[in-house]
Amino acid sequence: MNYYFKKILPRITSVFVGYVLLINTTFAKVSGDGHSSTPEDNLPYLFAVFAITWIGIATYIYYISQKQREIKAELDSLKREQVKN
Amino acid sequence: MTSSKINLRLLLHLTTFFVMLYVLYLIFLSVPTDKNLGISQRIFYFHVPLAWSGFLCFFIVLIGSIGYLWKKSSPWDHLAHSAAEIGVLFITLMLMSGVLWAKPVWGVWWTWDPRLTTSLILWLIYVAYLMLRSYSSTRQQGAKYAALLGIAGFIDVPIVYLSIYWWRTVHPQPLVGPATSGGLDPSMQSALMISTLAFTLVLISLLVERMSLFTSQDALAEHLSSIKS
Repeated sequence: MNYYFKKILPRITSVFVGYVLLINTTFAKVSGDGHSSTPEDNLPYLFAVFAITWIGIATYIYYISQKQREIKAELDSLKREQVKN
Repeated sequence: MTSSKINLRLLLHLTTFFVMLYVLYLIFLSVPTDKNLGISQRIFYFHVPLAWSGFLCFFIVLIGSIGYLWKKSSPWDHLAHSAAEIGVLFITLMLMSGVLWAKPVWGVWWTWDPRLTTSLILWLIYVAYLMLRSYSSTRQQGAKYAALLGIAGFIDVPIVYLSIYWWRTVHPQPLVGPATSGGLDPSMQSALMISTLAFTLVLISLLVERMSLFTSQDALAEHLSSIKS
């Protein structure tokens, strides 16, 4: 848990802030270039949004389930040791 | 855990799953394509509910924080902590979906528009909230300071909502709610409502699971301390 917050979260935060600043400074100068010729050309953006949303939610569910499994395994092993003693 | 509790959780997760399936059907097969924005307008059915769910999470953080400062009991703190984590997830996804929608519509990935800037500040406040907890020397200290930040940080939520009225902005005006500009097709409006319901159910499901993880962690800590003593 501590590893997640102390190591992973600051990295994610810095990557995201860097990403926002980078795309702002890089692409804001070429305003208008991003407009597609037809509205149907925007399918990759739609796909990206849905993919990112589901990947984000699935990753969080995976994180919770892994933690739950680890705790359950630790509790079980402690109980087994208690019974032995 | 009793079997009735497990059954209720299973029912909640199954309901969430089927409502979300119905939302995907509505978004991709049922609602008409917007004449001006084209297919990218369908991002709207995820972007707006993600924002709503994020704001709701931060409201839960507010309630949990007040409850913790008042009662000093860990369930309130667990509620606030869980909701903050899920809120950060939703607002991250909302910002990313906004960035990906802005490019085809505005021609830029990001602009320092009041709505976008206040949303980014909101995200940073709650990332700081999570970091504050992990960097605190004791759990009680972290919970107390986080509760104060959770209450103060919520001030930004109405600012994000009202920013489009207070300042000049390129962000669209709200299409549903008390002060709307109207003009949304009824089928689009119902798809948006059902999508909002689906994301609220996702929020509740995640919150229940995250709270359950905290309960397990408490049980483990209690077990370890009983062995030591």
